[in-house]
Amino acid sequence: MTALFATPGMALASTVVIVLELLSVVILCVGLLSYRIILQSHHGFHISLHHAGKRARWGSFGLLAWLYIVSTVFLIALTSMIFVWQPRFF
Amino acid sequence: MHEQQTSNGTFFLSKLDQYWVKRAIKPVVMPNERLLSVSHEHWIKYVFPSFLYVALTGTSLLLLYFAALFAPSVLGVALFLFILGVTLLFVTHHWFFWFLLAESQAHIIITNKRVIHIHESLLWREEMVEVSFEKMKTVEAHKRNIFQSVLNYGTLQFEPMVKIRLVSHPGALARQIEQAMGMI
Repeated sequence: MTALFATPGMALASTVVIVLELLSVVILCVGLLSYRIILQSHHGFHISLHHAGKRARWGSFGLLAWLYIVSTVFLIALTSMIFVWQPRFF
Repeated sequence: MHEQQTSNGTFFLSKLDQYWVKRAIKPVVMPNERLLSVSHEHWIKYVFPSFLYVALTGTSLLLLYFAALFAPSVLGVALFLFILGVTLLFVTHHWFFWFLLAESQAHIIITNKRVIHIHESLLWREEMVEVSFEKMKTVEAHKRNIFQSVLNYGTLQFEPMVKIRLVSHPGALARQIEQAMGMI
């Protein structure tokens, strides 16, 4: 395992990886915030219509958003582990 | 002091929330309007992006594998491949999930007064097509090819040149609209 900040090249690579992972978290948060606003907007319209109408199915925040969060965290953990431990196949 | 900070933080978040909610599309409910049905667009729209997602994720994992392969001997190449792989992996991942989240909220809403098609992308695109029954003269359902016939999706076309594509069961939906318009 090469030390992460031992050489200028490794230090640069470590910085790039950390920045990419932080950026990934920011994109996740912005995406979820924007998604929540769309949901709120649709939900408000649905509530206004629903009082006398037929019950309808609308998308829920649940599964997709959680899948997005879990898979992003998984990818960040995976790439960090590969970068830190640097597995060698041969 | 701590309470003050929390309250300031909450205030900021609520203001941010209000700003974004103001920007979002809010269809206005007409007097005596009732909801008849809400349907999603056809799942075919997910097929090509899913294929692309699998292909690009596979490519990025391959780059990570090659990075690990080169790691001990040629460190520069290994690092370059690793950063390229990670970048491709994250870009593909976020693009795909932003697409899924946005497309899952595309709806075709039928009320007793109009048809509304809402289609949005996270952050940058907001689209709402609304056709009132007062302006609508006819409604047609089209399936253009054998593929659309087998998978049962197509296009709804209204008289004032409005089209809604990727509609599941367009025939049934057209009948429902005609019923709501009092045409049958």
